[in-house]
Amino acid sequence: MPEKNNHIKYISPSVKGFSVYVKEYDTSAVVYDGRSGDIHRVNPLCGLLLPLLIDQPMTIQDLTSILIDQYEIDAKPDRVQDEVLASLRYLQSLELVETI
Amino acid sequence: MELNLHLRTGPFHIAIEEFETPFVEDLQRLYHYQIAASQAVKNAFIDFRISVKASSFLRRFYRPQVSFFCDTYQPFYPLPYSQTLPMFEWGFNWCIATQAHQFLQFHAAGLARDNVMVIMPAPPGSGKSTLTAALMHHGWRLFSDEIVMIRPTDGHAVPLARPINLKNDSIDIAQNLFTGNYFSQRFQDTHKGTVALMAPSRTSVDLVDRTQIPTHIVFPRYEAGARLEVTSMPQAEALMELVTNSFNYHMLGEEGVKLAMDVVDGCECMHLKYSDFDDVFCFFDSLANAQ
Repeated sequence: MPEKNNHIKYISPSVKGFSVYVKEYDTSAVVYDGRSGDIHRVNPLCGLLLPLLIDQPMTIQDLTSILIDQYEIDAKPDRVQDEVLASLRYLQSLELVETI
Repeated sequence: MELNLHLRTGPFHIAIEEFETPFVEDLQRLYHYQIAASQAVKNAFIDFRISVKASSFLRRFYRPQVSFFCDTYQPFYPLPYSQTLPMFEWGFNWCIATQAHQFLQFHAAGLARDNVMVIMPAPPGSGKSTLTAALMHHGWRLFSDEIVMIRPTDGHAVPLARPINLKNDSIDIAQNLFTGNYFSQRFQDTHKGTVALMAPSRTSVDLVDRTQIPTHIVFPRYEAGARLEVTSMPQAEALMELVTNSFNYHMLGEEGVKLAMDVVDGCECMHLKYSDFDDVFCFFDSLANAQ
């Protein structure tokens, strides 16, 4: 399971040649996993995180910083980081991200 | 018996090479307009060559059974002889679902009026076929009551205009209310209970080449005594439900999923609870009139 560790990086399996396609909707996102052919309905944060992990591996801290900057989130970074961690855990349970 | 009957239903040409004699008249009346239309295209490429015939000579007499063949392939175990016609319908569905991957397919009903085309996915027992029959009788054009097919090149739904498969209590309701339509005999003790088929309307068959962009996705649910209730549905939820009801999105891979997403993007999505056909007609007509 993911850990709140500065050194662990997460990445989507699409870097191995499998397609992962994300479509964002108002209240959730839908992800297509090209390896299994499954689709998953995930929360909007998962929908934001997954595309960030398709091109390059990132740490939880990287992801948290990007989200805070990009969406001008006015909340404590620790709180955002907890949410990022929870979403990564969920994506990992669906095998849509993995640690390297 | 050898039959060699040609049908054209939407994009498919089929040749029925053998069929059991007692059920031929029902078949011909259910597909009356499609058979007539097929006379002009007898030299067309045949998509499916189908036979429904006794499993063996002896099984015409001893515990009679029939088997379904597509070319020489027999995908199902035989069924009782009395279920010849339903077996043809289920087998034809199987042919489309397993081989027509040039379309994205959903287990759903489809109907259109003017510029409105409604997809109605629903689980068994939700009253989908009865509602489809009612709307067709009310003047809506039948695409299908079982399989909605989407063409990847332009996102259009492609009609089939095949008979509607009615089950159990809905047969009496349909025969009492939708007079003027042809109904087959009843087939008892099938795995779906008692089954009867209702012929598609003439208009549905005449306009079978008129494809349309889907505009609404409606998930219907019959509930005895319920007042009409329409609830808007988030598109993500509709997409998940629609894909769950797809026969072949996994065959089409990412293209299939993106096509399903495009369909949902172009549609208003809703749940519909109903019990009264008049209320339903008002609701569906309001969809058509709003366009």
